[in-house]
Amino acid sequence: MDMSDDRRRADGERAAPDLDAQLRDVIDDYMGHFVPDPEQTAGIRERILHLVRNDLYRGPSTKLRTDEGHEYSIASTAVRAIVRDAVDTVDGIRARSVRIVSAGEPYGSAAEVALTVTMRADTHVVTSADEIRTAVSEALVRELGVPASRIDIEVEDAYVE
Amino acid sequence: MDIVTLVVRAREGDVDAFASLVDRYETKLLRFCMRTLGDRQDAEDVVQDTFVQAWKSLNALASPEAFGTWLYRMASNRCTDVLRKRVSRPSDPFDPEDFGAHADDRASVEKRVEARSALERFAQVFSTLSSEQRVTWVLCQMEGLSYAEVADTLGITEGSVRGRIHRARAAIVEGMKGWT
Repeated sequence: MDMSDDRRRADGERAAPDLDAQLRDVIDDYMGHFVPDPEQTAGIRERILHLVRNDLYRGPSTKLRTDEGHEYSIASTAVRAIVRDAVDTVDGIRARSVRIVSAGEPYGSAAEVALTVTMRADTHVVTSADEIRTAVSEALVRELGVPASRIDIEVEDAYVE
Repeated sequence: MDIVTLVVRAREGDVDAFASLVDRYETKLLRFCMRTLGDRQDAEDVVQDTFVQAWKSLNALASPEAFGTWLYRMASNRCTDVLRKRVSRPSDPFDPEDFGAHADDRASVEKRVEARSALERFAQVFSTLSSEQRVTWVLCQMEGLSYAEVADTLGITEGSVRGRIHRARAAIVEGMKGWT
């Protein structure tokens, strides 16, 4: 469904190809009258994202525990964002899915992470996996104060820049 | 970033990824809805509702790579609903003022008036098509999707697409007799 501009233009030019030329002109006129302007789309975008963020605040949370033993909850989306951002710092790697569950003894003093990534075609898997684990571990300690007790990484796809 | 990564991230609550999806599809979807509904406000409402519904039901999307088709299907269904409601509560969605004046300085006043009259007539004829015919016509003849793509988007057979296009075309040609 992601049509290139060239194809769209070509398709526009042959809209209703078997209709006579005059009717095609009218249809082209009609199409031309309904082209969104950037101001219009910007307003809709803001409204959509406002509603989406409001919905997000009602999402699930993850229970964790500080190294002093104090239990706290944080939005699961926020924890995932921390992990995603850490993964994205590794050259040639983009995070896709991030799953985090509380772990450790006492419960919540550590986190188990399972993530899927997409990898640039020329990236070395083993080296990158080490870098991902380091980046994620450091981010969890730095941002949340909990270590990662396990980090599973699955390479789901490769991409070419 | 590729579409699968954006969808997977968005369904795990990544608003930035969802914003990228909105950026990628919003203009195309709005244009489709405007052409189908012939009304900017209704089109904006449909686009907004479609994206919010998409956000809430991303987990139901089995194949992230099909996000675009899935989005168009939801928007098409909503457009169909809006058009059906108009039938039950008749109104004139095509305000002639919406069409404004043509900016072509070379055309004579007479030609501009003629063109505007033909355009208003087309809008009237277009509004008499069934909601299904309109959605199908716009996807195929205005947005440039192939019959197969339209069939996939609407969840119908290619034969049904051909049938709708044929009937819509016949109605348009008949309705525009003497105007073109």
